[in-house]
Amino acid sequence: MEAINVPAGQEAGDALTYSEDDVHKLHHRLASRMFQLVRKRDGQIVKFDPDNIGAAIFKAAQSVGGTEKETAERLADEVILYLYANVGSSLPVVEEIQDAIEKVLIEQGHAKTAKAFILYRHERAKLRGAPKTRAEADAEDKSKDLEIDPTELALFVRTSGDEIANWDKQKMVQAMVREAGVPEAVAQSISREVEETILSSRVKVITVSLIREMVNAKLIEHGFEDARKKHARLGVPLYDAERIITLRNRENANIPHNPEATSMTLAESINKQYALMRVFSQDVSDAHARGDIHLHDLGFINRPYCSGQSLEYVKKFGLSLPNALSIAKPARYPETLLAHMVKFSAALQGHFAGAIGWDAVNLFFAPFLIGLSSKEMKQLAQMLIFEYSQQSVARGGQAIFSDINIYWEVPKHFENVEAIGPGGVSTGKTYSEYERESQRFAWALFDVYLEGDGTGRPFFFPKPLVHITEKFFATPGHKEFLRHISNVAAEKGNTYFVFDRGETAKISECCRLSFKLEQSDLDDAKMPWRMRYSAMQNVTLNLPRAGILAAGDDERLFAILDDFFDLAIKAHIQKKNFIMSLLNLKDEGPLALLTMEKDGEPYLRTKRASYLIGVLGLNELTQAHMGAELHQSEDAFKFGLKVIAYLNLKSKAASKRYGMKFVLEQTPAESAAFRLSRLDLDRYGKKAEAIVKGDLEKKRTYYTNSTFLNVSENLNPIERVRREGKYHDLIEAGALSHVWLADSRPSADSIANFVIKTFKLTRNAQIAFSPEFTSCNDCDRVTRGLSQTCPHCGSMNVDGITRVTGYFSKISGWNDGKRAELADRYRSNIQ
Amino acid sequence: MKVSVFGKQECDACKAALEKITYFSEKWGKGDTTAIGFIDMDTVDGLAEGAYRDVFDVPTVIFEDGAGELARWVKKVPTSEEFKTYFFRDATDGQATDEQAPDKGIH
Repeated sequence: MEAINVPAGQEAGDALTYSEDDVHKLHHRLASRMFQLVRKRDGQIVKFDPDNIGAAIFKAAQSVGGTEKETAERLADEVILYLYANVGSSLPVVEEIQDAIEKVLIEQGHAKTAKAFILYRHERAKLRGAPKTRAEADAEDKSKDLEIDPTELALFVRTSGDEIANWDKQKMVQAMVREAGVPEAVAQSISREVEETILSSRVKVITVSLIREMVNAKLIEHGFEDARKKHARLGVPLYDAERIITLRNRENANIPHNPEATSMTLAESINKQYALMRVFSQDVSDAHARGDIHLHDLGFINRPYCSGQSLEYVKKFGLSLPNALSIAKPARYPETLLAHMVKFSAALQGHFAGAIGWDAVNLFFAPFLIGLSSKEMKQLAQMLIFEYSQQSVARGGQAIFSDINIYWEVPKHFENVEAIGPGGVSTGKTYSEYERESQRFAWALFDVYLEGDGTGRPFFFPKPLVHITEKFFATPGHKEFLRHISNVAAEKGNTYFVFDRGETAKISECCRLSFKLEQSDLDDAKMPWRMRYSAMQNVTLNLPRAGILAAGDDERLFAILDDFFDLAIKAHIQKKNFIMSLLNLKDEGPLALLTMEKDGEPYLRTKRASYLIGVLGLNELTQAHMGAELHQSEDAFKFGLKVIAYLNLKSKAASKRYGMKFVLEQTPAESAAFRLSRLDLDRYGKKAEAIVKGDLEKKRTYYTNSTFLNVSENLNPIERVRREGKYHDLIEAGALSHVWLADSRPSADSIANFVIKTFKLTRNAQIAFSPEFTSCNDCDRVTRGLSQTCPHCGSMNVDGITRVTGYFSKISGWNDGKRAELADRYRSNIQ
Repeated sequence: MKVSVFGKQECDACKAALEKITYFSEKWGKGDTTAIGFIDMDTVDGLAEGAYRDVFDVPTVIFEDGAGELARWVKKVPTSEEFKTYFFRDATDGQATDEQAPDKGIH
């Protein structure tokens, strides 16, 4: 071994330092002396020539654009040194040398050259046709390792085939340029870097998602954050997908657990990501993720929120939907009309995120019911309720969230309207002449509700909403009917009592939503098929957070509310723009059904759409801000009114400014009450702990819904309804008070008296009575109250049933927050 | 005696109610003992106060004394005859009846 000379300028014994060049020279001298001979594949021993290694490396480098021969020579030296250190023989074989070349090239960061060398070696082996040596087999495997999974490449070019495609880094370039507008030179550079990383990793299979994420990481490195967002990939982690497929969805108690439902949940997951990345701006999406606001139904971003309509549309135009396989003319028989109504509801469910409501159902059915016997009438009522109740074959296996508005009287605005009868033509009479049939049908519907389903359970859908008006009390038979529907409320809980005082008229639906009819709507009532209403989106404000952040400072509190409110308005405008872009596609778009114009206007009358500003946790706002819950001090209660009045006026001002109808709504908050409480606990610790409700230890927490008083507080039920009702006039898009009955069973007269008092002595907009049931899956019997076991057969295979927010459902489908609320609910006994 | 007129700035009937009650209270020599207030339902405080007192329509006129609400008129301007009795309750020792106090709410 040659001695190393001391570099110039240094003395022997000093700490020696060497330049890169010194090291290369040294390695070259060493390498040139390591081996004298080499064994070829055929066993022949020949003279070892180090230059052959350099030449092979340079050739491979040239094939991928390399030009530096010196580098190739230097790498050849490294190969020889590696061989010397690792082969342990003075007579290397050709395959060992080639293995060493690959190894050194990859370790020294020359992945592309390595790949070229491997492919060259592989091709040579194939040409030789010789049985593969172990080294050759390894080389082939390595070559295969570097092939790219085809699925991914297909995705890069947005094809949908499940085919294997060859690695082509140009597809990365094309995707970056096409999708994100990245300059081509930058895209080329990034693709090269990604390619090198992939090749050096020696992975066997690489997915398109991984390649895309690697590209995205490089985009960030290169300062192209905006491009990275555009180039993002939406998807679900394997872990999450597995949970969605196997476990029940608890975000919405109306979602069953079956393959259709899990597919819907998976689709929702992508839609949510899309919404937050593309529909809403960064600040809005961040505000949702942070919990300042809650954007409802992000999983259904590609459609409006909910819809209320008139049966007259179906009666007049039949069932003729875009893309339908068949067209049905207007119905001639009540059963056909019912079928049309249900089918149309299912179609609408596919075009709206939430509830599908129908106005004055009993009245509009009436012209079809002339001459029906009581038995036939009840049979039709039964068909209607079962059709909706068992409609779990539509979207995602979900029952249609359906509401039927019912009137005992003929509402004033329909009194003189020409009735549409069989065949979609006028009967020559007005609706006031159909009061009797209308009342008989309403009565029959509640007969069915009273009986419940085949096992006596309450029907979950359709929700019956009975309008209580001044005219109701002036209509003969109202006492008996009120007693009838009160009996249903006491026995099964189904009845919703909607109070339309004075000149107020509305269509109610969803958990508590209502569309108040304005003069233009009452004008439309002359042609009731025109009466179609929708809410485009619901955005809820996290009121408790405003209370926490304000730290007792009024001015700050209202400034924070301003910020949250402005974000909500911005979100609404963005959602509206997105939906409009879909609607503008007309027949070619996904919302073609909502653009059909049977009466000269699109089905979705966007100019009449409402934009809901949800309020959640007012009780916790005052608790954080003033140290008292709404029921604990008159000042807190009044301050709560001030907050809602403030938001009411802001909604009106925003409506005027943007030409959109912004209205406050009591947020259903099935998941938001849970989610926002958790986010606040994470973010504000003890400040949030002081106000959230539920079980902190088990992390089953919630905020009190909307403007409700604390659900656990022992308040006289009429007092609760009266106090909560003071907020209702300020919440124009719908409000409700619950009376939780649990296992108590008040008399029909008690409920009826309660309803009359509520109508005459309060401003409450809507009330519902909620009993609780235990339904046994073994003996099929239903008992009052919630039990762990069936009182009849002792089975533990039971379902608890009661109202979650605004509808009945099985408790097993509730999220942890709602379960905590259920445990806290103070049950009233109406006397 | 306290008289509250719930109204809005653009509501002529509301202003008329306020002016009318103010005029007669002065005319009847009750100006010094009567507090007459206009509550603007277009303001946050006014709207909140209205909600607290179950007032939603304008004009709403409420007469009250230390014991509580005596009379309420909703969506109408009361006639002087209708509200006169409440100004002279002490002098006549008369009590306003429910008939004299239409739309009396609960509190």
